[in-house]
Amino acid sequence: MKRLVSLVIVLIVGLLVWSCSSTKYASVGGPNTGANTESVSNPQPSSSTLKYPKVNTINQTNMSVSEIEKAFSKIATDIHFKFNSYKLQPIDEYGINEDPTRILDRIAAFLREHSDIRIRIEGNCDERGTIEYNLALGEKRALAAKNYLVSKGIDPSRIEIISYGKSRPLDPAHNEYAWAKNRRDHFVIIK
Amino acid sequence: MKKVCFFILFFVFLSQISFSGTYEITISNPQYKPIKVGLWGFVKNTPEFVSKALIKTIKRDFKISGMFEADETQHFSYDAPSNVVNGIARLDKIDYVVYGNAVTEGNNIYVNLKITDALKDLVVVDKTFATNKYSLDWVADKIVDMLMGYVTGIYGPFESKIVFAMGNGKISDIYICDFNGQNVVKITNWHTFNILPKWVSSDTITFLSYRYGKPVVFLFNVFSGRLVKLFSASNLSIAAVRYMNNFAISFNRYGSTNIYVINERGRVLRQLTNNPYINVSPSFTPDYSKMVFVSNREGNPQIYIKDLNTMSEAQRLTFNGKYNSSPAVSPDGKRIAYISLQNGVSYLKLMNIDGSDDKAIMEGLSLDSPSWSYDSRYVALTGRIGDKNVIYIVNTVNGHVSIAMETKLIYNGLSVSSKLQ
Repeated sequence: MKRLVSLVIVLIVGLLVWSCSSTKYASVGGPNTGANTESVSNPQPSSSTLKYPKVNTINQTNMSVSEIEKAFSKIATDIHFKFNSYKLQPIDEYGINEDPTRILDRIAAFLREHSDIRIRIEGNCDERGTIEYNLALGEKRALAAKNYLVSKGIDPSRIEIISYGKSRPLDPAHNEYAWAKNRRDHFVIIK
Repeated sequence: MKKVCFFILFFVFLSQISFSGTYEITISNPQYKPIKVGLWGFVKNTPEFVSKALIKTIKRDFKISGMFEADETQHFSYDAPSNVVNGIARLDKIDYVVYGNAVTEGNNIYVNLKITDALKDLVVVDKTFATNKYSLDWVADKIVDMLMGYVTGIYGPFESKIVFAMGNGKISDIYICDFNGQNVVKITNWHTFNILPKWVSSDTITFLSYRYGKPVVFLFNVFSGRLVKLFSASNLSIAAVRYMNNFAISFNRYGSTNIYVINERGRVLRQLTNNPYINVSPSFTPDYSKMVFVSNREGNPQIYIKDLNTMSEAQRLTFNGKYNSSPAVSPDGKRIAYISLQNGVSYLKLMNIDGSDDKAIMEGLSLDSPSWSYDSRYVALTGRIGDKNVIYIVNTVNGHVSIAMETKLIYNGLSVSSKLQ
C-alpha cells in the first residue's frame, strides 16, 4: 500500500513539473504561413539569453541633456574647505568627511567622457568674515578646483568660475556645522 | 610697618582713581550721560500730521545720535519769548530747547524753529523752513544736525543716506534709506543678485550685479535712474569706489586679485597693487595720497597702507588677530574703522591712520561693511542679533550703539553718502 501511495505522489509531482515548464519548442518543420513558398532559413540566435544594456555605463550618444545633468550631479558633489582656506585637502570635521581630490577626479573623468560639455564652478564661503574678502576667497576656491581639473587634462576653456562669497549660504544656520557646509565649491553644467 | 605704609599708599591710589572718575567728564567715556534737550515745540499751532512727523524723527535721531535725550514736558509755539523758555529750562535742569510751530499753505509747509542755549540764555538757531509733507523727516534731520553742530562744534550726520543690499540668498536688491533707517526705497527689482553698493558721489552709486550671470559692476544715478555698465571684464570684480575722477576696483587678472584704477568706460588706467595673492577693499585718504586695503600676502587677511605718491611697498597696519578686514578711512582722513574676527566673535575696531591707538569699540556677530558718516563721528555697519540682521549706527566718540534697521533677510553691503543738499 505504501508503495502505491509513493508511486501516486511521484506521478502527481512529475505531472505538475511538466505542466509548469514555460519552454515551448516550435516544431522546425511546421506549416509555412507566408505566400512565398521559397524556403528561408530562420536566423539562429547566437545566445540563449537576452542581452540587457549595461546600467553602469553612460552612453554619450544616447543621453539627453537632463540625463547628463542628472548623472553629473550624482558624481559632482560639492567639495569643502577649511575656514579661510582655499587649499584642496582632506576634511574630517563638523559632519564633512571627504577628500576633495577624489571628487575632482570623478569630475575630470566625467568631463573626459563628455567632451562637449562645459561646467561652472561656484565658490562659496561661510558667513564669517567680510563680504569683499569672501568674494575673493570664493574665487580662489573655485580657481583651485579649476586648476586641479586642468592638471588632469581638462581644457581650461571648458571651465568657468564664479564667486558668490558668503551671500548664498546652503545652510542658513549660524553654527560650525552650517559654516562647514557653506565653505564649498558647487559644480554646475552650463547649458 | 612696611605693610601699613603699603596699605596707606594703596588707599591713596584708590581714592585718586575714584576722584578722577568723578570729575573727569569726557564725551569718550562709555558711561557718558545723554544731554537733556527740551523738545518743546511743534505741538501748539501745528497741524497734527506735521507734529507727528517732526517729533517722531527728532526723537529717533536723538536716540541714534547717542548724545541727546528728549524732554517733552512743555509745549511752546514759535512766538513764545526765549527768555521765558530758557528760564523754565534752567529750572528743569535742561541745557538746550528746541521749539517752534508749523503752518500750512496749500501744499507748502512752513516750519518755524528756535533752538536755545538755556544756560547762556541765547537763541542759537532761529529759522523758517519751507517744505512739503514728503520732506518733513528731512527738516527734522536738519534740526538735529544743527543742534549737534552747536553743542559739539561739528555739524550732525543725519543729512545723508545709507545705500545697502538686502536679499534672501537667491535674490538681492539695492535699497536706500535715511541715515536713521527711515524712508526705505528699493531701487533695483531685477530678481537677480545685486550686492556691495557704494556711494561714489552725492547722487551716484556703484554695485556688483550678477544680472547677466557673470559679475558686472554698474554705475547708477539714484535720482535720474541712469544705469551704466562700468566693468565686466573679469570673472571676479568687486565693488568700485571713488578714486579722484575715476574708480578703484579689485578684480581678478591672471589668477590674482589686485586693485586697479579704471575710468568711467571701464578702461584700466593704473594698477595700484601687484601681488599674487588677494588684494581687496581699497579705501583712500581724502587727498588720495594713501590707500588702505586688505591683503592675505602674509597668510591671513590683514590691513595694509600704501603711499600712492611714492608707490613704495605697502606697510602692514594690523598685527592683532588672524582676520582683519573691511577697512574704511574716515572722511577727515584721521582714522580707520575695520572688522576684526577673533574666536568666532567679530569686533568693530578703530585705529589711527598710522595704525596707532588700535582699539575695539564694539563686539557683535557677523559685523561687516563699516562706513563712516560725513562728520567722521559715526560708523554704520551690518551685523546679526540672533536670527535677525541689523544695521547698527555706532557713535565712535562715546561708544553708543543703536539699531537703525532690522530684518530676517541678509545684508550684502552698506555705504553712507556724503552730506546731501
